[in-house]
Amino acid sequence: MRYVLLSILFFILSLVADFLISPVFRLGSAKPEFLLLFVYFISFYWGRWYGLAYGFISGFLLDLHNPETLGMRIVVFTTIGYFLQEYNDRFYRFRSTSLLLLLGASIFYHLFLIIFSPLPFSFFFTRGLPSSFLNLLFAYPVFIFVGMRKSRDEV
Amino acid sequence: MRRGFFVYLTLVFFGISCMFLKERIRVDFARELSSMIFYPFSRAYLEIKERSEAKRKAELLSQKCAYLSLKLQHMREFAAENERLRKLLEFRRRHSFRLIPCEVVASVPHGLNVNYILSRGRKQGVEKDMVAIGYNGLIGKIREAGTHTSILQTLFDFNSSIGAIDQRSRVFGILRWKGGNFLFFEGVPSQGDVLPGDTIITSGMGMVYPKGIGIGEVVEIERKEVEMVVKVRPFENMRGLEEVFILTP
Repeated sequence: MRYVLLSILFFILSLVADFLISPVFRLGSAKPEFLLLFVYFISFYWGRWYGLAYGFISGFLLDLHNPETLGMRIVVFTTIGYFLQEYNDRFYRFRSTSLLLLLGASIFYHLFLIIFSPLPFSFFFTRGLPSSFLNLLFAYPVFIFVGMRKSRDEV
Repeated sequence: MRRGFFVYLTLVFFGISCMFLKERIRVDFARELSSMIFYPFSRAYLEIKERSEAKRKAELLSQKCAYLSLKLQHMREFAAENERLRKLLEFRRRHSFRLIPCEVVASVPHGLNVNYILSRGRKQGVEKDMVAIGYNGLIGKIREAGTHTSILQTLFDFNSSIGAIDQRSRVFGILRWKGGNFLFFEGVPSQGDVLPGDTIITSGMGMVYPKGIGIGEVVEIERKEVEMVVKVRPFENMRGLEEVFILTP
């Protein structure tokens, strides 16, 4: 129950951050995607079911916000939420590989959007790639804090 | 694992189905859903916004109210001042004296006597023994006049005695202070015609106080064997003076 409430709280915070705080860190047309980070972390640390549920909900809400691309974010976020957990046991001890995984997930998200929407491919370089690196930048401190705590708990 | 994968596939299938809907249907569907999902939140947001707006308005109104009440107090003060000045004008019409307005700057410790320092002195035309009046009646006289300040001896002074008459019956007497907040109209025979409510005014005898200045009202009489004891309440509050006027010829 505690995890459910906490996850709801984090979800609301990420939602607010995605809509209100994210534009503050805008770099050209790129901006950090806090909901994607939330799905990444929740799947990474709390498991597949949380990842799946919040991946679907987050994707669905973002799609409702952009009705022209309805369905795309549902697919991407649900996939990220579901499959990232698979790598949890293998990678969370190695910070660099976990970060690469996040970068990969972000790139996958933007590539998927560009392939299945009428956006030109140049968007991937002007928006997708910089946004992925911004995600990495924002994930790093969270990853260090949560990752370190987890290792300490295990000791 | 299998159950999880099945759920995943179902959700992804839903997503892909949405992707391949006709654009118009997709947009309408999304709008319909978003209005359904977000309505309670937008309603709550509007509610909070309205309440904060109402709170802000209430604060603004209370500020305005405080400002207006302050203004009202000022207006009342002006009205009172206006009233006092009207009385003064009336007094000037009746007596044809020149008046020097003075502010009371300090009280003088002089035993039980009530004396004050005034803001005007000889340079401004104030001389010893000049008469001081207030908006309602006689206050006293100048005891000492300095260059720029002077000392006012009020009626509440043991050394003060004034020739006075009853305005109604013209009975003559001497007004003296014996402490407290009243004056005593002395020298009136026990059969003298003085009644409570009578006004006592200056008699003009003694060459200091001009005739006809109101001093106070009779509040109590007691007939003794030889003399009558007459208690007079002065028109002016001698213990709370702020400004006085000096009569100059």
